[in-house]
Amino acid sequence: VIGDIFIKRLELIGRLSDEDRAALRELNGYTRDVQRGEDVLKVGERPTEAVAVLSGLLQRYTISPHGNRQIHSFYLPTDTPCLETLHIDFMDNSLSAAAPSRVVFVPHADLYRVMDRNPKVLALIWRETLVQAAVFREWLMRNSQKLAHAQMAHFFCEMMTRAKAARVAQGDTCDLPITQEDLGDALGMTTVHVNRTLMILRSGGMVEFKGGKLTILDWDRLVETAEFDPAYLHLRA
Amino acid sequence: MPRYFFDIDDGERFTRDDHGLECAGPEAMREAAIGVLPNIARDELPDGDRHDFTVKVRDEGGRYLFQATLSLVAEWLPGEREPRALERLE
Repeated sequence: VIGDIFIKRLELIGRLSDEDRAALRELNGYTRDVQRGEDVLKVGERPTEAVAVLSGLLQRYTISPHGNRQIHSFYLPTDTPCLETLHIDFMDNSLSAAAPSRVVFVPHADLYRVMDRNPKVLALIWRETLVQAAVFREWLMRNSQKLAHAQMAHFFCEMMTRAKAARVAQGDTCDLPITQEDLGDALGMTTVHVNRTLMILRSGGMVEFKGGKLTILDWDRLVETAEFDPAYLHLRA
Repeated sequence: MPRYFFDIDDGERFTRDDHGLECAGPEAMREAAIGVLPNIARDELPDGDRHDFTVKVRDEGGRYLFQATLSLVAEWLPGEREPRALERLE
């Protein structure tokens, strides 16, 4: 059921009633498979549908005037990127597939109707976009205030915390199907710097990142290195 | 595109690159090598007064083709006056 994915995401950050869940299950939509690098929503576009991730990994990015790419966030299965398009006219950034993904599209009109009749859904969708803003603030702080190894450790802590919350982790391993180049574009680091920083974290016995998989070897040391506090993710306890 | 490997030594830690980076050519490789040094320096300072950061680049055949070193030299001064300040005193 298309609406289940919205229920899953919203229940990670708040509570829904039986009526809310029933209303979300009525949502209509369709799924589409996208290839790595393919845009789901392009900068300048005027979206009429909301997006959710069924499988794979999406990323939000902008390209600088010099042609460099800044990745602003990654979206795991159950994430609902770009809900702000419900209230913003056009895309000021792009959403694309970081890996082969299956994406759900739901017409904005359907969501407006559910939001009109179910105030709790309206509030949680609002909350979801606010949580995303909190994540952007954390990324800004991480990229500008932390040294490379702490920055990368922080990123890994976030992705693992989110994967576990979304129940897409397998123990201390989760899919993170991105390249070292992608990682550099997210952290604002050159590929050579990414490579060395990864080696430092790996040789420190903290983390393994290989073949599109992230494995945490020593969570406590990784958290300490990152000075990671998951509060900004606002996950429901 | 040729793949190059960037081994980095910051005086305390040596990291051997086993991943590599595809570069359009030697000039792009040189830029990538030099570009990483200030980043490494930022990570590893601020301990000590002398610090050399070196990157050595291998090709896929294991031949070293390029090397760059960034050196930090820091020292305390005894407190002599700036020449312009001396002029103002006279």
